[in-house]
Amino acid sequence: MKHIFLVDDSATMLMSLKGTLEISGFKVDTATDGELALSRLQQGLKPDLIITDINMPRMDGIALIREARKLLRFIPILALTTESQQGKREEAKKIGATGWLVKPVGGSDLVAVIRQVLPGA
Amino acid sequence: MLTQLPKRRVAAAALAVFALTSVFALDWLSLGQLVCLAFGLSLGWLARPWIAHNEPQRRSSTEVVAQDISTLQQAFAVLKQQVSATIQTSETAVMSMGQRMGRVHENSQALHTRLVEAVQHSEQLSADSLAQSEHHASAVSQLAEHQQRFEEARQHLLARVRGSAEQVRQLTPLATLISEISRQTNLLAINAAIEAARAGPEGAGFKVVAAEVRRLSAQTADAARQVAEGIAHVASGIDTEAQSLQLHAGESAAKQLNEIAQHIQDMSATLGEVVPYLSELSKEMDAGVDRVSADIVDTLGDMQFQDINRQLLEQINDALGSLSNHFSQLYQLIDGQAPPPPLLLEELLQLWTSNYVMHSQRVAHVLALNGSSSEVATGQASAVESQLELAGSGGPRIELF
Repeated sequence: MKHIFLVDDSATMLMSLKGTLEISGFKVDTATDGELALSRLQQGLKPDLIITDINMPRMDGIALIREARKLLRFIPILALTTESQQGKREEAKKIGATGWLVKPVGGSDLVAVIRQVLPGA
Repeated sequence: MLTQLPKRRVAAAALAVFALTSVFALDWLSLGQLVCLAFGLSLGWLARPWIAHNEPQRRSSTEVVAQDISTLQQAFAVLKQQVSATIQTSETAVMSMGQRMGRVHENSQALHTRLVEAVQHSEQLSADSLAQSEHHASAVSQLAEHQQRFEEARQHLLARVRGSAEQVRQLTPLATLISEISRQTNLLAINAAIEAARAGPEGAGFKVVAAEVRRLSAQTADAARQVAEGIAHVASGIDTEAQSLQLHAGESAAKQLNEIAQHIQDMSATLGEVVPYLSELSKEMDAGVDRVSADIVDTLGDMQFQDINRQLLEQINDALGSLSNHFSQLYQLIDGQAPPPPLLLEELLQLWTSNYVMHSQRVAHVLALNGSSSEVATGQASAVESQLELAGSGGPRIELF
């Protein structure tokens, strides 16, 4: 069972995504901002995939991707955000994000993307 | 106080913001970038006389208030557009969720109906199998009882047959005895005939008697032979009868076993129906559950609208807060208690755009500003289009790098 780490400051988003992914057969962990997420990764959490929001308090998604990439070089990291600025998308790409998804993303579409970046999931 | 010129303030603020954002954007990483920052700040400082030369004459408080009031309609149009976008997002999501919940209900009902049918069918199959099992048990019981009775009868008959055979065998010495008596009688008759011949005419009568005795002896011998043949015939008949009894017993058992075999075949056929039925049912259940799961997954996805609306409303809330603050400052300006606000309302509206994160917010802003203009100037449509292009779509909704 593949392990996905969700990072979002919205409780609704976490509930929505967690439910979607668990029904689809994934193990899910969550964090409510970038700083907490980074702390979990530094403590040894090794998910198969990270899905992170971009606009979050304390540490945003861009900073999280940058720091997470130092710890986990090869796992896919997807940004799932309302942010539509092309500049941020380009920055995420530059620092090692695997993909950029603009909210809302349908549950089926999200699972399809995850299966694309996680072969065998 | 109206001595301060807004554009100068803007220039100073822009320089400060430029400096601060540059520092944070550079993230203290590059010496070369720091040099660039210093160069930018120096240019800003050197440009001060030019900025001062090009500043317009300061505005009167009346002009400021008049301009802001004229812009107020645009501000409300922007907020109205943003609220409309929020409402539309909610409506779309709730409608979608409602439709999906309807499908979930229909699929659940269909699954329930199918399950009820399956339970009824299973109950029928179970009852049939139970009846067949009872029938088999009854048949086996009857067969055992029949076999028991037959065995008893067979043993009884066998005993009787054996008794008859023994009795018949006991008759065989009698036939031998009769035959021996006949032979002795014949010898006596021969001797009597010899003695009668020796006696001459006085023995003539005795000769007749001897002849009669010999004839009687021959008849006795013939009777003894017939008795022996009769005994052999009866013994053969008894053997045939015993074999016949055994043969019928085998036929009866075979018939019972054939019936049971037929029943077992019937039961196998019934069980043969159950397996494909359960397999088909399992597939239908899987497909139904998959449909329900897909709808639930998409409904959970629709719930993301709450996060989108939260961000839209937070931006509207911030905008209303800044608007309230702005007009409070205007009120103080009219009272002569305070300088004009640092930004005109038009500039404040532009500042709102820096808080936008969604494409829909930027589009709503552009549309609201242009839609709220009292007259539609020639060529405005193309201007709106170019502003929408500037707002940009932000790229595809799903992009893998």
